[in-house]
Amino acid sequence: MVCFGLAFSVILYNYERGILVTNIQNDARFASDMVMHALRRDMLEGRREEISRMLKEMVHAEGVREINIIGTSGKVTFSSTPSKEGAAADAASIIAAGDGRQQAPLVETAGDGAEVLRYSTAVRPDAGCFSGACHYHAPGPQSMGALQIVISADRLSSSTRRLAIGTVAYGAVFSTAVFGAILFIIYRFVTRPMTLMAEGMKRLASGDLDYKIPINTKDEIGLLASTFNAMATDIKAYRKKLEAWADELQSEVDKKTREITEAHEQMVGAEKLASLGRMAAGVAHELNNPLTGVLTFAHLLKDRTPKDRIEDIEDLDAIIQQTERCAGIIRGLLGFARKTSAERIEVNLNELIDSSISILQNQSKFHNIKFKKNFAERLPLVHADSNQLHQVILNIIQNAVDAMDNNGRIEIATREAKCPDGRRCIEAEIADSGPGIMAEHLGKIFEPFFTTKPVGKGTGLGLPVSYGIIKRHGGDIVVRSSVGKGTSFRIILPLDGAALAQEDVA
Amino acid sequence: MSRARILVIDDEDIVRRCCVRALGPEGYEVDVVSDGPSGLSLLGSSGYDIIVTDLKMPGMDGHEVIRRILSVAPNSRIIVITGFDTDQPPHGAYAVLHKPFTPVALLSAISATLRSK
Repeated sequence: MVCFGLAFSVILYNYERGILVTNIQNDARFASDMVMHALRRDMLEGRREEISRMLKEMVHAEGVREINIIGTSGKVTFSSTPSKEGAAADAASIIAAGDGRQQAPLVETAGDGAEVLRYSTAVRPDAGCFSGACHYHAPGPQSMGALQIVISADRLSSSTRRLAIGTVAYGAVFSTAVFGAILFIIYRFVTRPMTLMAEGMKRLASGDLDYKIPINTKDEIGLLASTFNAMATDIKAYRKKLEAWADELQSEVDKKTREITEAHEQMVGAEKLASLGRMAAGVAHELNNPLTGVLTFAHLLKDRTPKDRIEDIEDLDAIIQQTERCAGIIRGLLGFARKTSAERIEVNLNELIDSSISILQNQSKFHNIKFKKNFAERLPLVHADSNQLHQVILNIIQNAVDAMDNNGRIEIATREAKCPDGRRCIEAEIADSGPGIMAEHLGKIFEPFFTTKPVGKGTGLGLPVSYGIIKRHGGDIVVRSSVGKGTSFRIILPLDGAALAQEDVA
Repeated sequence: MSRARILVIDDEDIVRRCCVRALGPEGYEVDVVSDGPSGLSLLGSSGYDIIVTDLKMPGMDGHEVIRRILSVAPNSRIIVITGFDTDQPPHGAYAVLHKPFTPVALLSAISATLRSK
């Protein structure tokens, strides 16, 4: 920019100086013409003293420093400075005097250091010169000599100085202004928007999608900024949508994973129980043959034992009783594993539970048990074997009463629900206020012969048989237990097209 | 009235012996075999009032035995004795008796079947 300012100043300076020089040259030409016309008459008439006097007077005119007339010989003939008369003239004057060629005015520095303009012009002969009596010149030569006028160029120097200062100042101010304006324009329209854009991109890249580029101009940069802002808004919206999708997908994956895990556990549990059932059935079946022998022969032996042999008869009764006990266990095992379908009717589960409770309440061990019923009204009928369902309900309630040591609260609720596979189901929930089932026992309660009751009190077949019955009805038993708080058994039964109950159940 | 003739088909020796010991003293004529084909060949040579058969036997099972008996002697009275927990007698059988049974239970089943003749 400084170079530009300097160059601008130099060009301006040279241009202005050229105009000044031209003006001074014109002045010199004008002065030269005046001198020439003033002296013409004296020259024609050969008045040499008059010429010298005129020159000496004319040199007093303002700005004129010296006037010389140079002869064709190249020597000064007349001079406003008498000491120069007879001296050799300068080259330009000699050329002008010699062949009459016009010489450009020269600006030069005088001996005293002042700047002067030396202008030489040929003195051309006119008609009077060829006809005058005084001094005759033969017609033909281009020049009879030269008139040299030296005028002060002080005006040039001072003007040039002023001009130089002016142009430099002007150049400096101008270039500063231009530079400032360019800087402002670059800053306003390029640097600042670019900085803001760069900041915006940096913020966007770092994840700050709320950042808006603060450019509201109507030009291309403004358009770019608003497009960028719109893009950030779109990205934010897409990111929110993606995050929502991701969350939804994650929860769906979690849900499915849970379902698969539960289904797998159920399948494993069901398969385990099914294989246990098959094994139990096989064992039970095989045991029945020798038990038939024991039972038959014990009876035959007892029949032919004399009535007075009381001890023998009692011993045989013990054999018969224990064999029948074995047969009972085996029947339980076979019940757990039985495959045959029982006779099914439309059963009102509320009524079935009511009748189960009324049977149990007559027994002394149920006297300190408080039953609370919360039955669903208009519970759909379920297509089921009512005897077997009865067995299941009785078994679960008896277990609860045993667990609570014959003292506590049993809440029984029925409701319509949805099976895990989407079918319409009803369920009965039997919850006790007992001590709960320990976590390590919870997975085993449906296994045959698993019992926590004292020896001789439980066979460990009640729940397996109940489970088998409900499974054969296409349902499931779900147990939730919290140690110290109680246990709940949910018996879930699919309706399989059962109709709504005809009467409301209180 | 002549003594009722009973054929017992069971692969278990102890069960066959139980039947003989429970029914014989009560005046029944009891024949026992350990498998279906033997029972069918006996059936061809002599008539029985009641046939008592097990269900689970190696080779020919009880269901097949019942089907074949009824194909040669459609009026046969068949009682099934089984260790399985079945409620209904298999198709073609008159009654089902679950093992382990007592002599009284066996005699009751036999009498009931004979009375239904």
